[in-house]
Amino acid sequence: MALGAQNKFTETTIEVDGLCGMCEERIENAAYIQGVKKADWSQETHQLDLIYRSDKVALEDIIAAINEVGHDVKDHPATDEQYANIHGCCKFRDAEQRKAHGLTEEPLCKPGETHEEHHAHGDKRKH
Amino acid sequence: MIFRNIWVMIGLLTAGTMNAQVVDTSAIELFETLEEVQVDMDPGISLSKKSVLSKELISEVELRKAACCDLSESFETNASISASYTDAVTGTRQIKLLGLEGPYALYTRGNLQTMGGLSSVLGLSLIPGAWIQSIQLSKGPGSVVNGASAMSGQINYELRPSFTKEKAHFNLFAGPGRFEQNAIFTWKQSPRWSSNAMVHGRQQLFRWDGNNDGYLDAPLSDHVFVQNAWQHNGKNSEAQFGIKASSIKNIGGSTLYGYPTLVPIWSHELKTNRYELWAKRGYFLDGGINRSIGTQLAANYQELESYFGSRTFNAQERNLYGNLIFQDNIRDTRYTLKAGLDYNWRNLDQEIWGRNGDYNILTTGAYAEYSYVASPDGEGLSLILGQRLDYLQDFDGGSKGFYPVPRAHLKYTAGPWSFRSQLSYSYRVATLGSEYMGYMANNRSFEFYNETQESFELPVEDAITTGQSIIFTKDVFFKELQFYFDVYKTLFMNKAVFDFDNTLDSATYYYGYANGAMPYSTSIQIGGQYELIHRTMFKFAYRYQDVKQVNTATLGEYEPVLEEAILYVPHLIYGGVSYSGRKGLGFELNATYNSSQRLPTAGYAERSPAFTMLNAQFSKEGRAYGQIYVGFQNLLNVRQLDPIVGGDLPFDGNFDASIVWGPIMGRQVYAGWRYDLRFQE
Repeated sequence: MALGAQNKFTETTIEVDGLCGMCEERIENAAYIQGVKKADWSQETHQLDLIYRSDKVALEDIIAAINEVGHDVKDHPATDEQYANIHGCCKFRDAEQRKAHGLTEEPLCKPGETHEEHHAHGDKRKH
Repeated sequence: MIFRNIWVMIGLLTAGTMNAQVVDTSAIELFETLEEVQVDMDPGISLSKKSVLSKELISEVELRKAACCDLSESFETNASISASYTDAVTGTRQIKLLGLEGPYALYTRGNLQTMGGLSSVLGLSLIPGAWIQSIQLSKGPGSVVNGASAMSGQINYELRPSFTKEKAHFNLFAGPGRFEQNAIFTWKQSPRWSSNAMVHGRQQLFRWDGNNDGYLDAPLSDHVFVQNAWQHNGKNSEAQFGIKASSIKNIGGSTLYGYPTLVPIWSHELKTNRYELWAKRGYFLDGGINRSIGTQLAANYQELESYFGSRTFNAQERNLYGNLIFQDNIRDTRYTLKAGLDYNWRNLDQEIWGRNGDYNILTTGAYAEYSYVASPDGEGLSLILGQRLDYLQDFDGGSKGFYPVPRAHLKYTAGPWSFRSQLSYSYRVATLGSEYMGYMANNRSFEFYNETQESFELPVEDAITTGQSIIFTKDVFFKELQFYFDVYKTLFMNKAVFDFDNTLDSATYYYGYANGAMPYSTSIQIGGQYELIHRTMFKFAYRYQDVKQVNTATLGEYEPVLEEAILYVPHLIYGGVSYSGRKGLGFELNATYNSSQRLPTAGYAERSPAFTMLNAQFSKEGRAYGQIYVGFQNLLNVRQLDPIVGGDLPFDGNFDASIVWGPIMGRQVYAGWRYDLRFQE
């Protein structure tokens, strides 16, 4: 029985763009939906460690939930409307903000290109 | 093979040195902040696994779960601390830790002493909940660095820092007839300097008499507190200083206060002003964060004017405190040595129960503390051994002496288990008057056993505390399960005791060693917490206490005996459910069962009834409007219907408002609003 229960848990890591502790709080809170057991985002590596019950929730739902609060997931950017809701100090697509937080790498997606890309991925997470 | 061995050797060596460098016994105590509390799903209360001392971290998340208007009300969701009213007229709440009254604990703001003396009990209402960022609760006597007086524990609170992303914080609160306003403003001068100002107002505007006994359930009040704090982060130094002014005006007693009456009415008025100045300075020495020199200075002045019916209580207090702390590593960062000098001068002019109650005491102390941490994550053995030597001078009474204070704390962590053990000696000077202000709300005549007519011997109380605790923390289905069990015993050699048992119109005060009858307090607690349902935290606790005091009626005998202390809760059961939704929706339900408490034998029922307090709160948070909360206190509407005995003949010897075992106010609804304004960077 124990083994059977264990198999339902899926462990995975996805890349989510963000800047600060406030983003961490927002990302983790967003990802912690029904069925998710653990959501732990690292400010340094931008990796979100997830453990969830695959029989209850799909990875797409978790990604959609993260997009909903405005954060970009690798290959799944948030819409510009969703991104607009993010607090001023957390605008992670902004080059100057990234510099201020000591980030050297490019954002997961650049302003402008996000919208098309989002539609290319289907409108499952449209609200 | 040889090559491989060499590589293993190098690996081990580097691992060893790396390990030694990484070890951080959490920077300098002086500036210890509580940022480590940040966990991904903040459970509110977390028991520290790393700290050698038994510490509970209570974060802002937890503080927001109850109405929480000042420090004395911040522990409603915590089974370790019980809060109760000191009496039925002043509305003052005091807390009890390990079965001992509030003043037996040490209160610190960022590890700097703040209360004691005249503000021992009243001081808790001078700290508004909205100003508090977090509270660190340590059970049992703590480090010798903070003095010898912490007997039941240390309550360290951190106020909202000036280096923050929040430009301003606002809080409004409204309860039955009660209103509170808090505002905090931060301004950033430069990356090195920052400052903030905090303002607090509280008013009780309506005369509330739910039990129709002709006395106000809560005093009419007007509180105004203002504070300005500064912080400087230098290259190799850190400094904090601040100033605070507080003013309290309370009117309690008869509901007819201020109206013309035919018969004299019993009323109570209290006015107090307190001014505080403090400064902390720390220099980091070359070679790491663990090496530093720090100073702490505090100066306080407080004046108090009050009367309880025909009894007056006026006092002025001047207090100076200074501490010099030196900290260094021995060999590597696993071994730390702290040493220092401190002084604490307290000058209190007062008259209590018709006699001179002046205090003019100076404590000068030297201390050294050695700590060892086997591993930076707290795994394995860690210990703190401390010794201080105090010289206590009493300029009024002339009694003085040396007090050696040894303390030992041990911790062993293995996987999910943490075992702690401590053995400590502590002493403190009890402040008669302010610590027992609730005992003024009666017409009892106070007899001072074995004391001279005009004054009394300086009550230096001393005790030995032993404590044992086990904490079990493990991820069960990816969520943290936490269980704890602890046992503490405080055994007093000398203690001040007020005995209300002998007659209804008298109280006996006794201080000293009662030939073999050593008062004690035992506290056993077991509890746990787990996120059983998605986003819903469940907490439970059971606490047993046994508190004995000297029976003053047997003092004349060769072997005096102990008796059960009055007004403590022997059995307490706590249960709490807390839901925090994804979209800022929150719900809390807290229930505390208090078993029956012993009441004074003369004129009272033998024991109080048992009762359950049930509190609930709903909250909703959103970016645009902040957090709105609505709550219910005392949902079951349990009340002590007769908190004032003999209220119809208030100037008779039997009048007594000092025996309060339960809530005076019935069911209450409150609502509030909090808002954080963040800097746009």
